[in-house]
Amino acid sequence: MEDKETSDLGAPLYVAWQITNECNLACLHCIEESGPGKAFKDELTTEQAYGIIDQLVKSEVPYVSFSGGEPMVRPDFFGMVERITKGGVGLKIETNGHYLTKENCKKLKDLGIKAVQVSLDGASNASFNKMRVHGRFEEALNGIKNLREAGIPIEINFVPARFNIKEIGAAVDLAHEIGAYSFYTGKLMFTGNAVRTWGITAPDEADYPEFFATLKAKTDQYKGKMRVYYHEMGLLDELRYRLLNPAALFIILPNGKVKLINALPFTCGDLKTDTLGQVWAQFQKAWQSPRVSAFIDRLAEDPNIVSRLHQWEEGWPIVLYTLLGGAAAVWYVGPPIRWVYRGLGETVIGLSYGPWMVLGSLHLHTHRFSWGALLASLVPGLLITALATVNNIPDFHQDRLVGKKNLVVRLGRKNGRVLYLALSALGLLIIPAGIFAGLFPKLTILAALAGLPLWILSLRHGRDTWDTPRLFMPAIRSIVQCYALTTALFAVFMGLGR
Amino acid sequence: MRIEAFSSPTMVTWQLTRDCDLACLHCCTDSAPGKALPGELTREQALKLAGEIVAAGVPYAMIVGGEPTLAPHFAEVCKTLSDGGVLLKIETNGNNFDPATLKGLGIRSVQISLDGASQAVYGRQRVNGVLERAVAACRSVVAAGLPLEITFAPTRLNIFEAEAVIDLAAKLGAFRFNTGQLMRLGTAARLWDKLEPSKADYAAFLRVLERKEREYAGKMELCYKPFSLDEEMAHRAFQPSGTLLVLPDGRVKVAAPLPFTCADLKSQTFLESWEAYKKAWADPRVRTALADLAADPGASARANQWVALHESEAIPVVV
Repeated sequence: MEDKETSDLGAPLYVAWQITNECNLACLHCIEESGPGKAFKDELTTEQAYGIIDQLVKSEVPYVSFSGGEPMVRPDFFGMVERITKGGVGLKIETNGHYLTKENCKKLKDLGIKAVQVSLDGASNASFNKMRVHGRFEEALNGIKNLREAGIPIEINFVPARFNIKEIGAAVDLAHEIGAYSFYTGKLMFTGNAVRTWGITAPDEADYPEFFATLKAKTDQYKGKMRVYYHEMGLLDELRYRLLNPAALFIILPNGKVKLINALPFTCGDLKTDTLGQVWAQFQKAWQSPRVSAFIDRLAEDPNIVSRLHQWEEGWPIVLYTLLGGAAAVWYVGPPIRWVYRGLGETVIGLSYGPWMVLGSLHLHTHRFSWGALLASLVPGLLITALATVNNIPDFHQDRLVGKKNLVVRLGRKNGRVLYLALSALGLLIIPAGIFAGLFPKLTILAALAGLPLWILSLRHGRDTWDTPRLFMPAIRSIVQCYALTTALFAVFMGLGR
Repeated sequence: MRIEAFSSPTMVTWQLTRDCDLACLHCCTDSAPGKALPGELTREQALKLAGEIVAAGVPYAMIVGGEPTLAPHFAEVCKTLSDGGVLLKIETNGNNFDPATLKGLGIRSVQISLDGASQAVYGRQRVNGVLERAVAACRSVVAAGLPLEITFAPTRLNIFEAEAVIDLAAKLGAFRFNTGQLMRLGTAARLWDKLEPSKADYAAFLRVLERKEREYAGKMELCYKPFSLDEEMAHRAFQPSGTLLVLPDGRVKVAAPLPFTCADLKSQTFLESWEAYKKAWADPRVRTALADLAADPGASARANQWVALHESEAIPVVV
């Protein structure tokens, strides 16, 4: 698979399709945060799913996996299986094994399923049932037995946790004993439910060397009988590898959105609206996006950010921040709020900054935060502050004599002029900085370029007229226009995303 | 602007003296040669007041008269104010004016009266005045790099030359041209029957102003609104100006077209006078006078017969 450049391919080689986020279990480590009642509100309808299947068939995608959630809880599960296998696509099912009745296994066999992967996170009742909440070890084993009897190839998946990591040897032995031909494992990932349960699930780092040593030994032991797949690569190493060698694989979420790779929060398309071909083109482009490499670099500094994998980074939060900034500025002098006339000018400047900080940390705690959004909010934020400052320059004496302590009164008009020009210049400079950092789309530079002439105009008008309100007005007008135009364009191009 | 909130005035209009070298027919302050007011502030008193204005943080002062440059301490007062950060506007007739006296000072503008575009018209209204001198003063103001304002008081004698005066002002490089209806105050009130332009004159004058306003847009500003004194007073009645009007003898007047004084800077501090001024606008006598003025604009004719609010029996102030 990796011998070929992904860009040479007309379609992905492998599509991992999470057909629902609903699950009968609520595993402690679930990377998808699935569970009972956890279906997305906007999951694909049967009709939409069939449409995607038809495209996969038509594009001759060779291999697809259905996972979840628990894929077998979808009422149209067998309908989807039938449609895709009849189309000649090799299908693998990833399941918790609780619905693998004799009857279902026979159906799957008849439909030509290539393999079924069952999660066995433990070699004992105690550890399995602890990890896989609502799950029953016996039930899963029984399902596997039914697969074997139906003659379906079996794969076993094992995720290590503090309380089962010592069972790895026994788990591999069990997998072989129940007839699996492949065994998959790796490190527990700090994402999804594991973020909340990390305290009770995370294995001691010191246990990993023995874990991998056992796996190495077991690999040799079962050579020719069962393949043991594991990688010691951390998530970060793998992502860096993938950046250079993107797999020709993409992940379809239950609502039709397409993710680059499970450990990255980026979506690159929506199969509800885009064709498979479009999404595939976007997928390849997305791997070259500086945002993806920047994210991986940030991950190196802050491993915690993968805990927010399920906040797929898209344009809308940034647009929201930007619009909030706009609202504060528009009503700074504009009716009906007119902050400045209520003596709240300074407060609003504080609010423009403060809320970003507060919203930012709120975002962090509620797993809804992005540095890109924070940086983006500084563009309108700084321009607004410049606007608030420049607006106080003509009113300097009145404000001073009535005891308003705004920045211009404190610093004087001459310095206030320097301050407003510096603040607005900084607001514009944030844009190229954000692009350079790979956080803003390249097109946002147009917002800065549109604002720049207005900034220069304001500088020209305001440089020597700060002490004559009548003459200073054009300087204010220009900075207001600079703010409005830059913020509007910036919001649009951030929203467009590319 | 709600003056109650202001710790000091935003501007002081200071009549430095009532004395004048001209004897203009339309003078609103009854000025003329030898008509200095009895008890005008001495140099010491004037400089003390200038210091108080600086200390109060007043941003602007208008130095007016009479002819302010005739006050022996004119230059010293200007320097004290300017050194203290107060921006100045100087109003002069320009007949004996040398901008060199203002060198190095913070001058917001120099305003020179041009009540005619020909010596015949100018000299008839500005008795003893020489147009050439005033024009020369305008040139020297601009040459000195100071902003120039021109003011024009329309009378039956000069209103037909308005357009020529506006063109002259623009040619001289003025950034602003001030005018409005003749004020029925002082000398003008006494000569009202001879001076008051007709309604038709005013209508033609307004048309000229509107046309010239468009013509000089972006070059020279034409200020003529509010056009009449009663319009302005109607506005001030509910929004008193933040300007303190100081008479040559140190008394503080509530407003030019009202006869009331509300403080005396010889015996009161500047800030006390400001507080008195703020209170005066709520004084029932002031409110009554404002109502009378609205009913009969001619009432302003008696505004220079000053009545001291503060010397009569204390009347409770109802705000």
